[in-house]
Amino acid sequence: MLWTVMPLDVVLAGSDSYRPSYVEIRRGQAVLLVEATGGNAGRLIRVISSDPNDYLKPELQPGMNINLNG
Amino acid sequence: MRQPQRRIQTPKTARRHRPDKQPAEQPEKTEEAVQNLNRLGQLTVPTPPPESDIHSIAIIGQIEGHLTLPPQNKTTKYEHVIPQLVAIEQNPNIKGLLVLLNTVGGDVEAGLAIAEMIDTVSKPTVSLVLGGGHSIGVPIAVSADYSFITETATMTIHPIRLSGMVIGVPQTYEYLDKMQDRVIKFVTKHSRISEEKFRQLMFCTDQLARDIGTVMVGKDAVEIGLIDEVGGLAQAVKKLRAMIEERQNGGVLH
Repeated sequence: MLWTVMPLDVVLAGSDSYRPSYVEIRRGQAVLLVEATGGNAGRLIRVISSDPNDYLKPELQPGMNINLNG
Repeated sequence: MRQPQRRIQTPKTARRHRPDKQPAEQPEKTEEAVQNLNRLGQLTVPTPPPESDIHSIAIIGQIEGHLTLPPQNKTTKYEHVIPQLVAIEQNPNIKGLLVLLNTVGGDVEAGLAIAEMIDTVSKPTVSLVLGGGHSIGVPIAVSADYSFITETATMTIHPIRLSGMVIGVPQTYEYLDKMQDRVIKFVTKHSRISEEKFRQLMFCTDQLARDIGTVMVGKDAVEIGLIDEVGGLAQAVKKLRAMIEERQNGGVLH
Protein backbone atom coordinates (compact mmCIF):
# COMPACT_ATOMS: atom_id res chain seq x y z
CA MET A 1 0.00 0.00 0.00
CA LEU A 2 1.53 3.27 -1.10
CA TRP A 3 1.03 6.52 0.77
CA THR A 4 2.73 9.21 -1.23
CA VAL A 5 2.29 12.71 -2.61
CA MET A 6 3.41 11.51 -6.05
CA PRO A 7 0.56 10.69 -8.45
CA LEU A 8 0.20 6.95 -8.71
CA ASP A 9 0.32 6.92 -12.51
CA VAL A 10 3.77 8.54 -12.34
CA VAL A 11 5.05 6.08 -9.75
CA LEU A 12 3.79 3.02 -11.56
CA ALA A 13 4.42 4.12 -15.16
CA GLY A 14 6.06 1.32 -17.11
CA SER A 15 5.54 -1.30 -14.43
CA ASP A 16 3.78 -3.57 -16.95
CA SER A 17 6.70 -3.68 -19.34
CA TYR A 18 9.49 -3.67 -16.73
CA ARG A 19 10.71 -7.26 -16.63
CA PRO A 20 14.30 -7.32 -15.44
CA SER A 21 16.19 -10.60 -15.30
CA TYR A 22 17.88 -11.31 -12.00
CA VAL A 23 20.70 -13.67 -11.23
CA GLU A 24 21.94 -14.78 -7.84
CA ILE A 25 25.65 -14.81 -7.14
CA ARG A 26 27.56 -15.57 -3.98
CA ARG A 27 30.09 -13.15 -2.46
CA GLY A 28 31.61 -14.49 0.72
CA GLN A 29 28.72 -15.40 2.93
CA ALA A 30 26.32 -13.07 1.16
CA VAL A 31 24.03 -13.91 -1.71
CA LEU A 32 23.58 -11.02 -4.12
CA LEU A 33 20.57 -10.54 -6.32
CA VAL A 34 21.94 -8.87 -9.43
CA GLU A 35 20.14 -7.47 -12.45
CA ALA A 36 22.06 -8.56 -15.54
CA THR A 37 22.78 -5.53 -17.69
CA GLY A 38 24.68 -7.28 -20.49
CA GLY A 39 27.88 -9.30 -20.72
CA ASN A 40 29.39 -9.90 -17.32
CA ALA A 41 28.02 -6.67 -15.95
CA GLY A 42 25.19 -6.38 -13.51
CA ARG A 43 23.59 -3.97 -11.13
CA LEU A 44 23.18 -4.97 -7.51
CA ILE A 45 19.53 -5.12 -6.50
CA ARG A 46 19.54 -6.85 -3.18
CA VAL A 47 21.89 -8.29 -0.59
CA ILE A 48 20.85 -11.40 1.31
CA SER A 49 23.06 -12.06 4.30
CA SER A 50 22.72 -12.84 7.96
CA ASP A 51 25.75 -10.68 8.81
CA PRO A 52 24.45 -7.14 9.31
CA ASN A 53 27.91 -5.72 8.55
CA ASP A 54 27.52 -6.83 4.94
CA TYR A 55 24.86 -4.15 4.58
CA LEU A 56 27.30 -1.39 5.53
CA LYS A 57 29.93 -2.41 2.96
CA PRO A 58 30.27 0.29 0.31
CA GLU A 59 30.66 -2.27 -2.48
CA LEU A 60 27.46 -4.03 -1.47
CA GLN A 61 25.05 -1.11 -1.72
CA PRO A 62 22.04 -1.45 -4.05
CA GLY A 63 22.72 0.06 -7.45
CA MET A 64 26.45 -0.78 -7.47
CA ASN A 65 27.89 -2.28 -10.61
CA ILE A 66 28.86 -5.90 -10.11
CA ASN A 67 31.00 -8.16 -12.25
CA LEU A 68 29.06 -11.39 -12.43
CA ASN A 69 32.25 -13.46 -12.65
CA GLY A 70 33.63 -11.92 -9.49
CA MET B 1 22.53 37.24 12.31
CA ARG B 2 22.91 33.60 11.38
CA GLN B 3 25.92 33.79 9.15
CA PRO B 4 28.36 35.10 11.78
CA GLN B 5 27.15 32.55 14.31
CA ARG B 6 27.99 29.70 11.99
CA ARG B 7 31.43 31.05 11.30
CA ILE B 8 32.22 31.04 14.98
CA GLN B 9 31.27 27.41 15.32
CA THR B 10 33.35 26.04 12.49
CA PRO B 11 36.81 27.18 13.63
CA LYS B 12 36.06 25.95 17.15
CA THR B 13 35.70 22.35 16.09
CA ALA B 14 38.45 22.64 13.52
CA ARG B 15 40.91 24.07 16.02
CA ARG B 16 40.50 21.10 18.29
CA HIS B 17 41.94 18.70 15.72
CA ARG B 18 44.49 20.75 13.88
CA PRO B 19 47.39 21.67 16.17
CA ASP B 20 48.66 18.21 17.06
CA LYS B 21 47.83 16.49 13.79
CA GLN B 22 49.08 18.76 11.08
CA PRO B 23 52.81 18.94 11.82
CA ALA B 24 53.00 15.18 12.21
CA GLU B 25 51.17 14.44 8.99
CA GLN B 26 52.92 16.92 6.77
CA PRO B 27 56.28 15.15 6.11
CA GLU B 28 54.59 11.80 5.82
CA LYS B 29 52.22 13.14 3.21
CA THR B 30 55.02 14.65 1.16
CA GLU B 31 56.91 11.38 1.19
CA GLU B 32 53.81 9.50 0.20
CA ALA B 33 53.15 11.93 -2.62
CA VAL B 34 56.69 11.47 -3.98
CA GLN B 35 56.31 7.69 -3.80
CA ASN B 36 53.01 7.86 -5.64
CA LEU B 37 54.56 10.08 -8.27
CA ASN B 38 57.41 7.59 -8.78
CA ARG B 39 55.31 4.48 -8.82
CA LEU B 40 52.06 5.55 -10.38
CA GLY B 41 52.84 8.79 -12.16
CA GLN B 42 50.24 10.66 -10.14
CA LEU B 43 50.28 12.68 -7.00
CA THR B 44 47.31 11.33 -5.14
CA VAL B 45 45.80 7.91 -4.90
CA PRO B 46 42.39 7.36 -3.39
CA THR B 47 42.80 6.53 0.27
CA PRO B 48 39.99 5.22 2.42
CA PRO B 49 38.49 7.98 4.53
CA PRO B 50 38.89 7.66 8.30
CA GLU B 51 36.07 5.69 9.86
CA SER B 52 33.29 7.88 11.17
CA ASP B 53 31.62 7.21 14.49
CA ILE B 54 28.45 8.78 13.13
CA HIS B 55 26.61 6.95 10.41
CA SER B 56 23.99 8.56 8.22
CA ILE B 57 21.15 6.96 6.32
CA ALA B 58 19.43 8.88 3.54
CA ILE B 59 15.74 8.14 3.10
CA ILE B 60 15.14 9.44 -0.42
CA GLY B 61 12.55 9.21 -3.17
CA GLN B 62 9.90 6.55 -2.80
CA ILE B 63 10.13 4.18 0.10
CA GLU B 64 9.95 0.87 -1.68
CA GLY B 65 8.09 -1.89 0.09
CA HIS B 66 6.56 -5.14 -0.98
CA LEU B 67 6.33 -4.06 -4.61
CA THR B 68 9.39 -3.36 -6.75
CA LEU B 69 8.81 -0.01 -8.40
CA PRO B 70 9.69 0.68 -12.04
CA PRO B 71 13.17 2.14 -12.62
CA GLN B 72 12.12 5.78 -13.13
CA ASN B 73 11.57 5.93 -9.37
CA LYS B 74 14.38 6.76 -7.01
CA THR B 75 13.77 4.46 -4.13
CA THR B 76 14.84 3.67 -0.60
CA LYS B 77 14.94 -0.07 -0.21
CA TYR B 78 13.69 -1.03 3.23
CA GLU B 79 15.11 -4.54 3.03
CA HIS B 80 18.57 -2.95 2.91
CA VAL B 81 17.98 -0.17 5.44
CA ILE B 82 16.68 -2.51 8.14
CA PRO B 83 19.80 -4.74 8.38
CA GLN B 84 21.91 -1.56 8.15
CA LEU B 85 20.18 -0.39 11.30
CA VAL B 86 20.94 -3.74 12.92
CA ALA B 87 24.62 -3.29 12.03
CA ILE B 88 24.60 0.27 13.38
CA GLU B 89 22.98 -0.89 16.61
CA GLN B 90 25.45 -3.68 17.30
CA ASN B 91 28.69 -2.06 16.07
CA PRO B 92 30.51 -0.57 19.08
CA ASN B 93 32.45 1.88 16.85
CA ILE B 94 29.26 3.60 15.76
CA LYS B 95 28.11 6.10 18.36
CA GLY B 96 25.22 7.84 16.68
CA LEU B 97 22.89 7.88 13.68
CA LEU B 98 21.85 10.77 11.48
CA VAL B 99 18.78 10.17 9.32
CA LEU B 100 18.44 12.45 6.30
CA LEU B 101 15.01 12.65 4.72
CA ASN B 102 13.98 13.84 1.31
CA THR B 103 11.11 11.55 0.49
CA VAL B 104 7.76 11.75 -1.27
CA GLY B 105 6.36 8.89 0.79
CA GLY B 106 5.84 5.31 -0.20
CA ASP B 107 4.94 1.95 1.26
CA VAL B 108 3.17 2.26 4.60
CA GLU B 109 4.42 -1.02 6.06
CA ALA B 110 8.01 -0.47 4.95
CA GLY B 111 7.99 3.12 6.20
CA LEU B 112 6.58 2.12 9.57
CA ALA B 113 9.13 -0.69 9.82
CA ILE B 114 12.00 1.76 9.26
CA ALA B 115 10.45 4.22 11.74
CA GLU B 116 10.10 1.53 14.41
CA MET B 117 13.70 0.42 13.86
CA ILE B 118 15.07 3.98 14.16
CA ASP B 119 12.93 4.53 17.24
CA THR B 120 14.35 1.47 18.97
CA VAL B 121 18.03 2.06 18.14
CA SER B 122 19.60 2.48 21.58
CA LYS B 123 22.20 4.97 20.30
CA PRO B 124 21.46 8.68 19.87
CA THR B 125 19.54 9.38 16.67
CA VAL B 126 18.84 12.69 14.96
CA SER B 127 16.71 13.23 11.87
CA LEU B 128 16.91 16.09 9.40
CA VAL B 129 14.14 16.80 6.91
CA LEU B 130 15.54 18.37 3.74
CA GLY B 131 13.41 19.25 0.77
CA GLY B 132 10.45 17.14 1.72
CA GLY B 133 9.32 14.56 4.23
CA HIS B 134 5.85 13.72 3.02
CA SER B 135 3.23 11.11 3.88
CA ILE B 136 5.01 8.04 5.30
CA GLY B 137 8.14 10.23 5.67
CA VAL B 138 6.42 11.93 8.62
CA PRO B 139 6.60 8.96 11.04
CA ILE B 140 10.22 8.35 9.99
CA ALA B 141 11.10 11.98 10.72
CA VAL B 142 9.63 11.85 14.20
CA SER B 143 11.07 8.42 15.03
CA ALA B 144 14.53 9.82 15.85
CA ASP B 145 15.36 11.02 19.37
CA TYR B 146 15.56 14.58 18.09
CA SER B 147 14.31 15.98 14.79
CA PHE B 148 15.29 18.93 12.64
CA ILE B 149 13.70 20.47 9.57
CA THR B 150 15.37 22.98 7.26
CA GLU B 151 13.64 26.32 6.78
CA THR B 152 12.49 25.53 3.26
CA ALA B 153 11.61 21.85 3.69
CA THR B 154 7.98 20.80 3.53
CA MET B 155 5.96 18.02 5.08
CA THR B 156 2.60 16.95 3.72
CA ILE B 157 0.06 15.23 5.92
CA HIS B 158 -2.86 13.78 4.03
CA PRO B 159 -5.21 10.82 4.45
CA ILE B 160 -4.04 7.45 3.19
CA ARG B 161 -7.19 6.59 1.33
CA LEU B 162 -7.65 9.55 -0.99
CA SER B 163 -6.71 10.60 -4.52
CA GLY B 164 -5.76 7.21 -5.89
CA MET B 165 -2.78 6.72 -3.65
CA VAL B 166 -3.79 3.24 -2.65
CA ILE B 167 -2.93 0.24 -4.77
CA GLY B 168 -3.41 -3.48 -4.67
CA VAL B 169 -6.54 -5.39 -3.80
CA PRO B 170 -9.70 -3.35 -3.28
CA GLN B 171 -9.24 -1.84 0.13
CA THR B 172 -12.08 -1.70 2.59
CA TYR B 173 -12.74 1.46 4.49
CA GLU B 174 -12.03 -0.25 7.81
CA TYR B 175 -8.67 -1.55 6.63
CA LEU B 176 -7.56 1.88 5.43
CA ASP B 177 -8.77 3.42 8.64
CA LYS B 178 -6.70 0.92 10.59
CA MET B 179 -3.57 1.67 8.54
CA GLN B 180 -4.14 5.35 9.12
CA ASP B 181 -4.58 4.81 12.85
CA ARG B 182 -1.24 3.00 13.02
CA VAL B 183 0.51 5.97 11.47
CA ILE B 184 -1.33 8.54 13.60
CA LYS B 185 -0.58 6.59 16.78
CA PHE B 186 3.10 6.36 15.93
CA VAL B 187 3.42 10.04 15.09
CA THR B 188 1.55 11.30 18.14
CA LYS B 189 3.51 8.98 20.42
CA HIS B 190 6.86 10.23 19.10
CA SER B 191 6.22 13.95 18.79
CA ARG B 192 4.55 16.74 20.73
CA ILE B 193 1.54 16.92 18.43
CA SER B 194 -1.82 15.71 19.77
CA GLU B 195 -3.89 13.12 17.95
CA GLU B 196 -6.72 15.61 17.57
CA LYS B 197 -4.44 18.21 15.98
CA PHE B 198 -2.83 15.68 13.66
CA ARG B 199 -6.21 14.47 12.43
CA GLN B 200 -7.30 18.05 11.95
CA LEU B 201 -4.24 18.71 9.71
CA MET B 202 -4.80 15.46 7.87
CA PHE B 203 -8.39 16.29 6.95
CA CYS B 204 -7.93 20.00 6.33
CA THR B 205 -9.82 20.99 3.17
CA ASP B 206 -8.48 24.43 2.30
CA GLN B 207 -4.75 23.80 1.94
CA LEU B 208 -4.11 21.45 -0.97
CA ALA B 209 -5.40 22.03 -4.47
CA ARG B 210 -6.35 18.47 -5.41
CA ASP B 211 -6.49 16.70 -2.10
CA ILE B 212 -7.34 17.25 1.52
CA GLY B 213 -4.53 17.60 4.00
CA THR B 214 -1.89 20.15 5.01
CA VAL B 215 1.51 21.21 3.78
CA MET B 216 3.82 22.55 6.45
CA VAL B 217 6.93 24.53 5.64
CA GLY B 218 9.93 24.52 8.00
CA LYS B 219 8.95 26.28 11.16
CA ASP B 220 5.23 25.42 10.77
CA ALA B 221 6.15 21.82 11.55
CA VAL B 222 8.04 22.96 14.65
CA GLU B 223 5.29 25.27 15.87
CA ILE B 224 2.71 22.54 15.52
CA GLY B 225 4.89 20.19 17.59
CA LEU B 226 5.72 17.65 14.92
CA ILE B 227 9.44 18.44 14.61
CA ASP B 228 11.71 19.61 17.44
CA GLU B 229 13.71 22.38 15.80
CA VAL B 230 14.39 24.32 12.60
CA GLY B 231 17.99 23.77 11.55
CA GLY B 232 20.41 22.42 9.00
CA LEU B 233 23.28 20.00 8.83
CA ALA B 234 25.54 21.83 11.29
CA GLN B 235 22.84 21.98 13.95
CA ALA B 236 21.88 18.35 13.43
CA VAL B 237 25.45 17.08 13.73
CA LYS B 238 26.12 19.34 16.71
CA LYS B 239 23.03 18.01 18.47
CA LEU B 240 24.00 14.43 17.72
CA ARG B 241 27.52 15.03 19.06
CA ALA B 242 26.09 16.60 22.20
CA MET B 243 23.78 13.63 22.71
CA ILE B 244 26.66 11.18 22.23
CA GLU B 245 28.76 13.09 24.73
CA GLU B 246 25.92 13.22 27.21
CA ARG B 247 25.43 9.49 26.84
CA GLN B 248 29.12 8.81 27.45
CA ASN B 249 29.30 11.12 30.45
CA GLY B 250 26.13 9.72 31.93
CA GLY B 251 27.74 6.30 31.90
CA VAL B 252 24.80 4.70 30.15
CA LEU B 253 26.14 1.94 27.99
CA HIS B 254 24.36 0.71 24.94
